[in-house]
Amino acid sequence: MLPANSDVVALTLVQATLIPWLGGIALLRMFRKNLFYPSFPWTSFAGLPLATGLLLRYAVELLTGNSLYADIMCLATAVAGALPALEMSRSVVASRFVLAWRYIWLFPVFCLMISWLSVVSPILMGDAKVMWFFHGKMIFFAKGINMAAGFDDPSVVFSHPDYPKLVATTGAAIANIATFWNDYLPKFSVALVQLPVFAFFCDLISAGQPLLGLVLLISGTSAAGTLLYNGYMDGLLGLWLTGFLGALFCLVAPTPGKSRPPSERRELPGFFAAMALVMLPLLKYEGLPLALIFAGVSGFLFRGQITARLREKHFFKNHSYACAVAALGVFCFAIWRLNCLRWGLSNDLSGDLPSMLQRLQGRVVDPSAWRLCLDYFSDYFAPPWLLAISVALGLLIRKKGGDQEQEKVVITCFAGGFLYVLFLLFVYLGTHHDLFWHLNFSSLRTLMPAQNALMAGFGLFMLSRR
Amino acid sequence: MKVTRSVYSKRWQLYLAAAAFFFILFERRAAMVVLVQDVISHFNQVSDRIELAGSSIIRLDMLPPEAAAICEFLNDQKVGRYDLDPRLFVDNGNALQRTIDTCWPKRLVKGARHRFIPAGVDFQEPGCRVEEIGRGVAHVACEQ
Repeated sequence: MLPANSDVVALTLVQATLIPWLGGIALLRMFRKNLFYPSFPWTSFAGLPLATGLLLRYAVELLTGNSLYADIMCLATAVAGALPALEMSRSVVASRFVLAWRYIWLFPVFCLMISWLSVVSPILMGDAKVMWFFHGKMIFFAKGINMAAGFDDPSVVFSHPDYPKLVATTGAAIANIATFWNDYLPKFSVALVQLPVFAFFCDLISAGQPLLGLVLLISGTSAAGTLLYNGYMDGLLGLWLTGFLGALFCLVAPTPGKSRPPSERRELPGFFAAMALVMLPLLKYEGLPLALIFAGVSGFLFRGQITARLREKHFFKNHSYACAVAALGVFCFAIWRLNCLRWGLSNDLSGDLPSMLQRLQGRVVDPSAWRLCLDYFSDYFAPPWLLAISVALGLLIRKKGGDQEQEKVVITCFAGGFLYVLFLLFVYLGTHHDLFWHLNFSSLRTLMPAQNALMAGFGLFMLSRR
Repeated sequence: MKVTRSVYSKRWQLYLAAAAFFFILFERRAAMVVLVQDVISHFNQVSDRIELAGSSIIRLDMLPPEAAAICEFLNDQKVGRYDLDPRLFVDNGNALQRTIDTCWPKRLVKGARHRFIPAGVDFQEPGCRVEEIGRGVAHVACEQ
């Protein structure tokens, strides 16, 4: 006998997964005929189409301000994606790689595990309850991201209503499917958003790069604990950042499927890196500096290669799907920021730069403020010795010691992590909150992505010097 | 000689990176233990959990008692706007935010006709009726 409500749960979760996945396939199919990459089976078959579908729905909802239009459009694209999905399934079977992948079951196991944990644990913890999923609830009851949702209501200022809404909107879409809001089903959106990264890591483990996959998986998840599924965005942010670094490494390191041409082996990691960069600012505002810092550092280090690739004939035409998805992500961010301006939404840290600089000046000369920051940064993921080792290794990496390209990725991890820690230090020293309270309240979570990057850097360094 | 130096430098950098990687992992053991314990705790009473996940009932038992009483009252009486006395949630963490979130789409509006105050507080305003609704909360309805 099945448990009560199991039909509601199962149907909701299946629809919430299938609809954006099929929609993503339909969109990507417009730009590229063959979407399946045998070297990255789960990422190309499941992960990236799903992420694309989620972005597409978010964009339509932002544009129309109406959940119904977004749902109708999603259903239409899902119908359009059904045939290409069947075709893609046939290429999966025809590729004959399936039988050769030893750990092909790994992703479904992760998928079930993270889905189960997201759905059966209630939205209970502080920010998840009164911020991220509160916004989802507002969107659900207003039937869209619009003025009626009440983001400008003076009583909800505490919830930072200007924060990015990708997960909240997806949660509201899941509640639309279920036809009601509760403290469980909408949190499935957290699982949906992180599944593409798990697909990427599992592909690396199962299809030829087990050590790289493990290093990334450990770096991305080991510090997060319950943040992976309790409804906070920090776990997702750390995971997507690690995914970006992994994709960057795959772009320069030999990737699975050595019989295939290098251009094909690099195509999917490139797409994944672009997706990760646009995902970061849509999850949380900290994602914006993270994306800018890591894109800036890697762009600077790989400027030669990037310029050469951009000069290639038909570069944009050949990579139109990745460019389209990246543009979609940037578009979502821009539209949400425009809505914030239109509705007068701002958070406690924005729009007050002069007084922030004044507070910063005051605290920079205050030894107790530095001591407090040092204490918290040391306790929570960014002790000075770790930063020192990463900087030292970054500087000492010799051109003759190993593969230059791979070591540039390692330097990206170290330099990016270090710069992000500096950025956070700047933010904390300039905060208008009580410094002790602010550090105590948030530094454990905000510093985590920086340490993920440093840890991934050490791991990738080991792999590059094997 | 040159080759030997290069290999030597390669090795100590490798060992340093490995030590840093595994030390970070060791430092993260608390988070991993919490994760494992929490994951295990979510695999018991499976059918109850599925039933809850698929139910349209909002969990008021996870709220501070005052907040649960207020949301319950607003739902039962189909009241759309309410006001809260600041004394209700003094020193009570984020109970005020939890009330606003859980009662949503009922909205907190300053000066609304329906107001909630701590039970037992002396409240006298012309045209207002005070009624205790339990769990330390009293409801005030004013005619306006």
